[in-house]
Amino acid sequence: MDVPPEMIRSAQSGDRQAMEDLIKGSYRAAYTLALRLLGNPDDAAEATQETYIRVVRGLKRLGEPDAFPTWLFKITSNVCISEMRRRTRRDIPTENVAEHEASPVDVEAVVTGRVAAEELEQLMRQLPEAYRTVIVLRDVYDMSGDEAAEILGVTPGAVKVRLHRARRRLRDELVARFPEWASSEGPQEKVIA
Amino acid sequence: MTDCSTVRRMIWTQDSPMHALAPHLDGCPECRTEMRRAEQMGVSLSSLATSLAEPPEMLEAQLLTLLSRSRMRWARNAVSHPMFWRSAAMGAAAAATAVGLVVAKRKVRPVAA
Repeated sequence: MDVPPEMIRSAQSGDRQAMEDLIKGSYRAAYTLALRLLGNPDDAAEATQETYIRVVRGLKRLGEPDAFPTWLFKITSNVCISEMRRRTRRDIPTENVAEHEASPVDVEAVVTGRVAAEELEQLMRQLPEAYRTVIVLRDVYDMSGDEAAEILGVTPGAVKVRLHRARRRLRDELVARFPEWASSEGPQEKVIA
Repeated sequence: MTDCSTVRRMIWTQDSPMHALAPHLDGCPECRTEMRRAEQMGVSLSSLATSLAEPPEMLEAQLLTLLSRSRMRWARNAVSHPMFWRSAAMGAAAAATAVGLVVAKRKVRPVAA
C-alpha cells in the first residue's frame, strides 16, 4: 500500500489531491481483501466503493496515520461481512469466481512445502464462507482474535474454534490436491513459489 | 506422553509453545510432517497479504467520482443547513458593522490644517 503518513495528514486536512492519491495508493489492497472475503469481483468492487465512502467520511477521525492500513482493512471487512449477512438474509447463493484451469504443479516445490499463491487463493475461495473469512482475517491479514471477533460479531472463543476448523479444512484440501505436500524434511526456508 | 490426536489439535490451533510438543515430535515422524504442514501453510497464507488482485478497469475512476460527489453532497448539505445561513447572516452583519465603524471613524477624524 503506497500511502505515506504525510499524504494521510494532508488528506485529513482537506487536501483534495492528497485524498485522490490516498485512494489511488490504497484501493487495490482494499479490493483484494474484499475479493478474498466475498469471492466475487462485482461484489468486491461494490464493497470497495462503500468502503471509500466510509473512509472519506471518517478519515478526519483517524488518530494515527500509521494505523491507516489496519483501519482501512477493518472498514473493508465490516462492509464485506455486512454484505454477506444481507446476502444470507436474502438467501442469495455465493457466486464464486470461475475456477482457473489447474496450472502445472512444481512437484518438488510441493514436497518441500511450497504452495503457489494462486493454488492457495483458489483453495481458499472454495472454503465455506465462515471458514474463509476467519482464515483471511487472522492468517492472511494477521488481525488479532479480538479484532476478528469484533468484525465477525462472534466471541474470541468462537473465532478460535472456527479458525482451528478452517485451518484443518484447508490442510485437508491441500493434502487431497497434493498428497505429498510437505512430506519431505527438506530445507524449511523454501516456502512459497 | 501426549497422543497424536491431541498434538495435531495443538499444532493447528498454534497456541501451544513448541517445547510442549517437542518430546512427542522427536519420536513421531507423522506429527513432524503435520507440524511442517502447519508452519508452511501459515507462512504461505501470510505471504498472500502483499499480493494484490487486479481490480476492474473502471474501479479507480468510480472511486474518484464518488469522492467528487461526496464533496458536492457535503457542500449542498452545508448550504441547505439552517446554521449555514444563520452564520452567513451573522458574518455579513459583522462585516457591515466593521465597515460602518471604519467609515464613521474616518468621518470624525479631524482634517489636518
